[in-house]
Amino acid sequence: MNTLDQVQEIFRDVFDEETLLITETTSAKDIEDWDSLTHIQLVTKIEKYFKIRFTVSEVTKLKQVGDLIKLIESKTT
Amino acid sequence: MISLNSLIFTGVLFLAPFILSIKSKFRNWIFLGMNLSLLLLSMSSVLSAVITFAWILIPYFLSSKLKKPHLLIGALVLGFIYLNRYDWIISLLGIPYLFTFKLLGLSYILFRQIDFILNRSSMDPRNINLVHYLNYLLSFYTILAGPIMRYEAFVLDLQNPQDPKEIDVLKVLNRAFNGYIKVFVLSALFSTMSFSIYKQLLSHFELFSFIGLIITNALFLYFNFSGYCDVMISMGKLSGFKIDENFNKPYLAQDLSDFWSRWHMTLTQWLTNYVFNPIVVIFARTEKMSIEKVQVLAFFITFLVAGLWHGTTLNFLIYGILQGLGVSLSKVITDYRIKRCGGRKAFRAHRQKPLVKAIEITITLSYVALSFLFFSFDVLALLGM
Repeated sequence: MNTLDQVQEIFRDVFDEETLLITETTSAKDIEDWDSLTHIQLVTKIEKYFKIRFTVSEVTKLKQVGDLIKLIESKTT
Repeated sequence: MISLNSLIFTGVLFLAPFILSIKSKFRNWIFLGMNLSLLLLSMSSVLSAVITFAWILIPYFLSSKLKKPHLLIGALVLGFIYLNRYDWIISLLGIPYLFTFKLLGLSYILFRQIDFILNRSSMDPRNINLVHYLNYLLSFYTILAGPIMRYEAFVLDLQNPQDPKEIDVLKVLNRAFNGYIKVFVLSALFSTMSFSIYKQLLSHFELFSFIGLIITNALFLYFNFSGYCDVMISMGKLSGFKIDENFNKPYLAQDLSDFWSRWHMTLTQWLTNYVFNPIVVIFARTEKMSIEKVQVLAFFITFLVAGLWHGTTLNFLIYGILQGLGVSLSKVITDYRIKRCGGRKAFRAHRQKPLVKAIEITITLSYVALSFLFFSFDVLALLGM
């Protein structure tokens, strides 16, 4: 599974939607329930799953799935 | 109410669009000159000026050398508690005050400094310079009462001012005028009314007047603060600045966290980024609690901090506790209701029903208005404490 697929699983879990599809350009505008509360749930689940840590500044700036994947990949390789 | 300083300030507000609409590399310097002059005018003594500039400049230079800025932020927060005179903390610890210091807007300056310090290492170095930093902290449009912008957004806006020709001047002036009416007519009216009711209540407590106090005070706070923001946002716009919105029909909120996403929005955003999120992340890493429980706890701490940031008396501590309890409880109830409705989508649809909506708005507004009493009045004195 590539990073996008793995992240998609986490998104489905947080938003409670089995069929949710995300792309690199998906942002909070596209998912109605993506607010500050679910955003931080995504962040903590991703930290745990990929065994990485984000800084305060990174958490604040993550707006798009593409940025998220780039950041995850820079931290895991 | 009208002092020489506020007359000068109003004059500056109306002159600024003419001065700042120039397209010149000196625009930032001119803006800085205006900001510094207004700041110096508000200084009560030489000592105040010295402390203020030390407070502003030291973190700027220190933060460039630090990899982990958390100690610096801790020191700033402690310094803030001391300078801002949190008597119930300071006198509890038995620390003496060495000098008198008063700087309007210090709490807003602190929050902007924290934003700058935490993001400095990840920013484009070309966007970091002392002139931008000073303008960011001291912009006369936002120094007194927000909105709290983010440093990077502020600098981006500073570098790309809106072309005055593209601005619908009449529309903007109309908003500014309405803002002035809100502040100087409506809020002044409700302020006078609430103060006279408060005085009456001090000598003789009566439920009916108490409800009157709650209502007039809620109206006063809304008209005062949102009117102020209307004036600043529109006057700023005439000078080419795009200042963040701070209000979005807050009294129509359907629960408390909805309320905080509509009232003083930029403060909520700041608190989310720098208090709520870090708490959630840190607790989640310990893996001792479910994420839902962590969020409830984080809500409480965040709104407690928000209450304390607003003012230094015990009333603000109570205000913070009330908001913290309210928001955490509202989160618990929302989670329960989502489950009962069978998912987020169904819950959202359920909340759109007019009757549900009306009940939710009424409950939220009543709670907010009651807690706002602690914001404006010494309620402890009212209760004979």
